[in-house]
Amino acid sequence: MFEYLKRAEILGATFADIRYEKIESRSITITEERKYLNQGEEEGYFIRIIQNRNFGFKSTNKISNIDIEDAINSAYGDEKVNIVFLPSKHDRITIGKRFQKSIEEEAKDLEKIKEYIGNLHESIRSFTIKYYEEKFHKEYYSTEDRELVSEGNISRLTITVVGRESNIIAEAFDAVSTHLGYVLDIFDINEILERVRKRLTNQLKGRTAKAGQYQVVLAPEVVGVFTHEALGHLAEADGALDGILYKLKGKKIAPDFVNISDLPTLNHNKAFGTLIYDDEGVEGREVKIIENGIVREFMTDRYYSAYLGQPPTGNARAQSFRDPPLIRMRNTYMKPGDAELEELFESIKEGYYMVSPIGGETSPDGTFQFSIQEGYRIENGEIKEPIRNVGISGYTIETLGKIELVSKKFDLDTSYCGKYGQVVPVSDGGPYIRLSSIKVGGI
Amino acid sequence: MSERLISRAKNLGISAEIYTIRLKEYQIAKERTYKTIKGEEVGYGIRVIYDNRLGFIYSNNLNDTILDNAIKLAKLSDKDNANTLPSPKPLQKITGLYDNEVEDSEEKSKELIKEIIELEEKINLTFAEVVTGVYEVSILSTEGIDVSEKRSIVSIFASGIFKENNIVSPEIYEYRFSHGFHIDINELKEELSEKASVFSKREKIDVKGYDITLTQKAINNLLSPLLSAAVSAENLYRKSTPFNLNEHINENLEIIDDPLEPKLPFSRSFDDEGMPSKQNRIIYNGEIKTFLNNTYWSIKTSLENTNSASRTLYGNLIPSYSVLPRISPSNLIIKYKRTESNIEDGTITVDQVQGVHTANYSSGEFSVVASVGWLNKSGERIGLREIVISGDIKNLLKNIVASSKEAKLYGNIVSGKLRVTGLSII
Repeated sequence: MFEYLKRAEILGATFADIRYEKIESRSITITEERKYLNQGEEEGYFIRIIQNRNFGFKSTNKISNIDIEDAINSAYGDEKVNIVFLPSKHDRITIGKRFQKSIEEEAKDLEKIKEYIGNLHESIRSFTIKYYEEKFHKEYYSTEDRELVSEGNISRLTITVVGRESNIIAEAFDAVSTHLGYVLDIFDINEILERVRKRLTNQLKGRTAKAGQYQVVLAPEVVGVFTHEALGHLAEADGALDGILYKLKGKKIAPDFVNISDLPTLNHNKAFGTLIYDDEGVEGREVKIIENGIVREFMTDRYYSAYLGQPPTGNARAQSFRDPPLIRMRNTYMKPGDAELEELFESIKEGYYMVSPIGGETSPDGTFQFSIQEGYRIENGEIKEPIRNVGISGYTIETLGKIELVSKKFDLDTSYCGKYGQVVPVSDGGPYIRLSSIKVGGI
Repeated sequence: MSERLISRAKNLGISAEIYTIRLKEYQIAKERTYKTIKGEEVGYGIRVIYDNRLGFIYSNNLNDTILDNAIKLAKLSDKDNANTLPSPKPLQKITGLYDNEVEDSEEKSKELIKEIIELEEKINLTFAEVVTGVYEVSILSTEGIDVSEKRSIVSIFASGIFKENNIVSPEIYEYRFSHGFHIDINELKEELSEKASVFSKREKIDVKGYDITLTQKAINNLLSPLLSAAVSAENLYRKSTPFNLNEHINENLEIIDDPLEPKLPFSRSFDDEGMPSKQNRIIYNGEIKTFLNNTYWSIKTSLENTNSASRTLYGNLIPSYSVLPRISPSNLIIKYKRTESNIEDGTITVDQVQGVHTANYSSGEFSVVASVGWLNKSGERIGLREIVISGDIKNLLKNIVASSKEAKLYGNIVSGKLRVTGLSII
């Protein structure tokens, strides 16, 4: 690949890098009536050059000198590009653990899950069990003499069920993903199925929450979505500068016991955003977004590291060889505190306990919204009946200031995050937290 | 190679289909710096039916082993009589889906980006992007399908915020799609700067009890994905939709799926199984008349195949060779009989919502933040913050009371602004 980089330099590039990526994937889908299997293989190159302080890019399935020329010829801009340069490095790494499982064995495992779901709850009308597996091989080369090769795999199981009782249609899901091997060897299928059953039945018998402001307890899954959606996206340097967070750098916005970081890897079986080198060939490091309640730093790519004068963080990620790297999160979480779980509920007279979100979204002005698939009413410190069709929303900065207690107990969750049409695997999580108030929306 | 594989499949006595995408893209984006990307890709999706069992493989390279691997996958799948490939039907090619100008679009795209960047004088422009693509879809099968079509697409996106002292408005965005460069860029710029100006003043007021007026953008963001799921025959069969056939919804409402109008961005001569495109009346005379269907689900449901097979992933403009055909509308035309001139007066206009992907797509229930919304009071527009709208797709459609007179294309919908009563808003 270095011969193409040399060619780019001869043509006038002051910097060039090439990513090669090969993905082999397979999926098995089983529904109440269907079972079908897919397999795929994709490979390609993404070339990036800087010439006259402008970027130029080319993506292609097969590389040749013509593609290098195309990248050079596409360079355009206002001649303001400046990036962080790195020293020479050659490395080869494996992310997670390799495993060998035939598609026949995997299909049989899913058939067993189908049998369990058939007996999970009488209301279930339809369901989808989807297994996805990916083996990736990535190479990175730059004119700095960096050659980084990484390999690994993803194994993911998603279960969605739809139940119907009289006029109520309820939908519940659970998903687990890992780099550490075959997903059904890493996670207990009985626990997954029990979560799905509970979420479904809760929604069928749940009541709609009465809209208003309430004291709430958020479980790790919801805290994870909060740290990722409501805060994390605001701390990605490309959005932070125009958003609300950059001007708060160095300011205290939350109590001392609130610490939120984004890490390249974690010793946890759900650290699904693990990334040793990012897609700009940068070594990952911890980004302390909030330390002791104070806004500290932002996630960057090479360009924003230079722009902000901040050491590179390794947050540049691309969905595939077709895409340019964007600043993305990896494993983002709130660090645990000192409180026992029971303490969080004790003083709540009327409030809600939010256990599992369906997802969420945020805007650069700090507005966030999450929908909840598993939640309960709290009355006089006790967890009461489940609630359904409920969402929570608010302003991130205000909400961080309303954190009253943070538990010792901690967990992570895995998901995929979308930005500008690109989707990448991430994890997020945290402890259980109590908020003095948040807007709870219902019908 | 495609012909050879199909011929081999015939000799083996199995049904096979090769779906090919050849794509050339150009993208120019301006955030804090410029990014210009040229992209080229060829990809193949191979669907095999062996003994009524389905196998699917995708790849950037076609070779002899692909067919064998697809057969191996099919043998592990369940037998299902609905697993069949369609036979060819006469189709009429639509002209106007391909604009030669898009083939060599670099200079034109740069001009457009420059025009959008002029907005920086009025608002804090956070992102501007022009994406152009020319692509060819080809489908070849053992059943005799042999179709191909060249299409072009231009997408323009711009987002910005109003920022002054401690006031930061929500991020407001506008986008337009077309087969060519016939996009009114000045109209997009005016919309964006006008909406940003509403948020120079932003209030938190009691919004309970107000009617809502959904702009075309909000209809495309909220109603279009929920409706697409609710009128899918797959979801009808799997009891995952709140709608039933012939169910009364709203006597003044008509919704048509129209892939035949060349000016609309999601038009095509044939669907992603090679079946001829046709118009489908989804809601007519106020009732649900059609659930959209493809070959597989039309056999399952014993309902008409509306030729709505789609391989375009949600949020994308160009089909993907890496997925099996699903069901999706093309362009949705929404008509409401009762129109009003000043539809927004006295209502809360909702222009952008966030969190639609968190909706319950089986029941159609949603609870979303109206991130860009304003109250229309005595001729003044007051920017609002923290509004949450909750409801469900069925009641949203039932409670439409009026449409603005002017229909407009936004994303995949053509509609007037719609005034809706009775939604929960806090």
